[in-house]
Amino acid sequence: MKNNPNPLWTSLYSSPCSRGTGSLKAAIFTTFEAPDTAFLVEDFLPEILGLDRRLSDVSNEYFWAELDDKLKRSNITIISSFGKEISNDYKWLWKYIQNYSTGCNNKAIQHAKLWLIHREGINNDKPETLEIHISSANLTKSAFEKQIQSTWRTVISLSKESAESNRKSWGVLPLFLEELGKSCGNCELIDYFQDLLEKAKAPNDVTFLASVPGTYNRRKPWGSHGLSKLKLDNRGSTKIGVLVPYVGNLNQKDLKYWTGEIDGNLDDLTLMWIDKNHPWANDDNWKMQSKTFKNLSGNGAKIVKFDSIVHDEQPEWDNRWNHSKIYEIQKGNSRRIIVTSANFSPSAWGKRVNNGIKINNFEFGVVIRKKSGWSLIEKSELLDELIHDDAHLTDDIQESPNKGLVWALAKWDGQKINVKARTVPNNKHPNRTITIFCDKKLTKNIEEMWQKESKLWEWSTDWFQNKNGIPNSILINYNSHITKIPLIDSRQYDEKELDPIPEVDLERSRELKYALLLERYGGQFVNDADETPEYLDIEEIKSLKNPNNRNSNCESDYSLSWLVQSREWFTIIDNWANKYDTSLYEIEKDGEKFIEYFSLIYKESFDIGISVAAKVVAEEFKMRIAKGGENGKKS
Amino acid sequence: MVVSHEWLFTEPLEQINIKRGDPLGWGDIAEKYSNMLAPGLSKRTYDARWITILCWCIYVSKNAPRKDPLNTRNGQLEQYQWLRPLELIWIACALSDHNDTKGVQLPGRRGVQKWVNVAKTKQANDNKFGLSTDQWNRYRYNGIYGAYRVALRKLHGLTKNGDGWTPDYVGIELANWMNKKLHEIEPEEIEIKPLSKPETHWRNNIWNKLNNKTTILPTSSSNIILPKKEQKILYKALFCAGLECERRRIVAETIGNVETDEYSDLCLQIAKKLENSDDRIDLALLASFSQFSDSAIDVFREIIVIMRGNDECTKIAIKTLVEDTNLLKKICSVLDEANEWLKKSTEIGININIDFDSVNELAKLISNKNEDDIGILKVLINHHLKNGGGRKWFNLIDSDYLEPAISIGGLNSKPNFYRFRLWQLAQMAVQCGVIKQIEDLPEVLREGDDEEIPNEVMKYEE
Repeated sequence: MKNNPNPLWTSLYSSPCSRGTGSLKAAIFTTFEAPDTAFLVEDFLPEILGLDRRLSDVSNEYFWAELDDKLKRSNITIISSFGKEISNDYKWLWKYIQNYSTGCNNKAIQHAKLWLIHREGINNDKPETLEIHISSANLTKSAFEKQIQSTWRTVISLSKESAESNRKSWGVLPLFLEELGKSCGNCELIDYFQDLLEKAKAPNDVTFLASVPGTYNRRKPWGSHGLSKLKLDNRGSTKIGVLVPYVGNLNQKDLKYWTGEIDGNLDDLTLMWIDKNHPWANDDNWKMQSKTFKNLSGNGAKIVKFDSIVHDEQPEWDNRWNHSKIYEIQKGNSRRIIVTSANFSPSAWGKRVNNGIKINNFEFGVVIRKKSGWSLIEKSELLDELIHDDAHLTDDIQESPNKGLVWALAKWDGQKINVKARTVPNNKHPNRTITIFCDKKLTKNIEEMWQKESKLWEWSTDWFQNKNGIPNSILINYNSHITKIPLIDSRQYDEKELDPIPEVDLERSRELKYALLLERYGGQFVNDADETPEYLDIEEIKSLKNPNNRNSNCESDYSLSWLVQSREWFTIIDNWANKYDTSLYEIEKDGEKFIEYFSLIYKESFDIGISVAAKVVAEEFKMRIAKGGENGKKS
Repeated sequence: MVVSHEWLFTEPLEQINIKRGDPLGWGDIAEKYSNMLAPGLSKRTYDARWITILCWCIYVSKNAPRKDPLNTRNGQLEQYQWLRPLELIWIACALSDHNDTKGVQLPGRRGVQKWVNVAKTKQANDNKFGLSTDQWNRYRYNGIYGAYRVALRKLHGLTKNGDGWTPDYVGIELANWMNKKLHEIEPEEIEIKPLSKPETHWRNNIWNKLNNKTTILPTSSSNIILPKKEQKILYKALFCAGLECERRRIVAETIGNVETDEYSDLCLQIAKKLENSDDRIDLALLASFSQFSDSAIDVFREIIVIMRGNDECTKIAIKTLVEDTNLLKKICSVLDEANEWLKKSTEIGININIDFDSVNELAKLISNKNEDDIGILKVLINHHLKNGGGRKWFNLIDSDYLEPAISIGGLNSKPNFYRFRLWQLAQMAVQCGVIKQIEDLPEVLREGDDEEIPNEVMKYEE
């Protein structure tokens, strides 16, 4: 695809980028806020998973069934900052999605907005893909609806072979993922994606920038140190444009160090900011302290009055506020645009300390090499200067006091709930009693001892599904402050597969699963609010046991109906067999479910034609699974 | 290999609908009642003219080129590619030709209006009719076909075997009626060439034909009356043959004849009319259910009024809340209704099909509190937090304080009452002549339904 010099004006969800790719296999999404479960369930996941149905005001059974099916077949992880309040809606979502927080070893704010999405190939024609989004968007409804975001995204075809040189082409990304995994208390968390990065080369006209919490000397590429590696033209003057909604408490030393990384000075820098009368000033969504304004303007930086327009196609009525974080650097003949999660703050880029910088946040960005087109610097030259007294400025920003519990992780493997926690400053253990929420809308308080393991406290209790239900979140009490933590369900696919579909009557779950299974392999498409397709209503099949209801087909009708029906079902077998490969465990499980389904129809249906056809089809599935893999296909 | 990479700013997204107006978690019960009273419809089915238009749309696009059969997912997706531009052309015409589009059902109107403004003066290049990428993709669910699909499937004779795609005899009659109006002579087939692009094809063949045809556009709330001939055909689909038609007709006639200010009274009258039906046992509890749920939601609405008056919009002690006389009245009323529900449901006995466990549980908890206002309030709030299937309106802090769970702006709206599609049915009954005039409809029909909830403002981050 030709690299467009101008940014597009389009949606975060759909673009030519992600069209024509297969089902989602695995994904990692990073976000600052705790993910908004209602937004995820009702909006985000249906788009990302490519569901064929949406929530509506009529029956949603098939929507829930499809969401359940797609989530069970994918492996999704969300990483956010610790301690953000998690939503009460759709708590069952944590059964499908792993929500990790950063801060296992040290204080670490997760502020990056990086998405890695691995999708299946399509019928051997199209290879598997890795989709990467680097943006300013959190996983909240307001981020998608109320804010203007900026995103860079790519779709990479994955080769079957891995190569170390591929990994190197991704610059700081693999190392960033490694640090993120460590901070979540699970180093293996990102191994899956590290492997994928070895299967493709990064686009050659971009560079990645990242921040990782900690204190670093110049040898580490994090924060502003990454800027020094941009290979800019070393002749000519420097110009820097900055458009961010938040400017942190940057002192003169921080500012000098930051601009110095690109061989620039503070008077090369232009910041776009809003005045007091700007509509965004009312909601206090944009923030900068008065002293920072003075540090900038007093040391030569230019501050200009931003007019809200980021794109030519932006309509006048668009009242969303800008949440994108864009930087532009011009030096001699080189031009770079940085699309990132990093605000202009010491937490994001690093605070100047002895021999280096101290970073608080995880951040991720991309540097795009450009020759022409959209320019923040050119735009800023057309805007009026903004003086201190007219600028929208905020009072000192108070950090919220530390509540003591600074990190926790809770997992359930089907038998035990294990909790790990880190506390400061006295490093005492949390309250022994933990409240556990489960799918039956029940809560249970359990008291166990905490054990010290290195820096962390560990707590565990037995928890069996048949006795207690499926747990989804816990409450930990520390210093009288209660924190809710989503539980990571680490059971195997087999066990999860048996769980009922959420939001749906238990009795309907099985039928809906069969309907989706048939549809997946070319059976009738069932829509929301549609009636149950033929042969799926198990209760109805059973009710046909009454011989008076028995289909009174004569022999010729019977042979015809079984022929017609088995032909239709054999198309399903063929579609299944085309995907069948013994290495694909889920596909084999689908085959087993088909055997169960058709055996049920054989036993229960009193229509002889249907019954015989079902038996033949069940036998065919059995035979193909027994042969396995390629043999199964060739049968 | 890099397939592609791009950089973007996000265009405005259509406001995501709040689909969660279920403050007590009894949405399923309301849905079951809706299916008893207004079967084959949905909350978004209320202008019978759209049924006519959609029948015409599926009729003229029935021969659109498709690779897969219509009972498969791909076949339906392909077919919808031909329907979507047609739906949007009708929306565009309504926006272009109606003097007043207030109350006209026009999903995506803001985007399409932009397209119309351009199209009036020159050839509009935008093939998405002014919709954003997201709106265009979601139109399958949010658009008119999405709203009327259930009706196309379930109403009598509209589509063959209720497939929602292939016009059946009543559907064809409606399509022919529309065709005549469009061509003003005998209907003609619009030929679809094999390689045509849906958007271009319809724009070239339909857009000009629809200009200035105000009499066949979707109706507005000020004038919903349909021509006699169209009325007659639609009557066949909605009110004439079969059990479901009969049910809709009885309910609609009752609505047209009742004079009441109370929704529950309307429910009572309907249940009486249906006392010989198979659903009579469940329907015997309809009015009590409506009254009890309304009284509980009324308490939430009153709390919101109080919170709105509280400038700082921070937490309020429950003790302080119950000092409000209006709220106290509502709490008394919920206690009465809970007792009434328990009495009535005991009378009816065990042969009920609907699962009322959650209703019974709340009624018992309230009843047990007797005149303890604070206790009743806490029971209600806890029930909302535990069972509410929708947006949570409040948080209970330290069990004695209540704080809004939504932004200050969000408090300008209120939780919805449970309604049973009666307003939707009544409006179409007026259009089909079952109810004489819209003025005959009780005011209370629409009250407390369909209120939008503004979005929350995101907390700040560094």
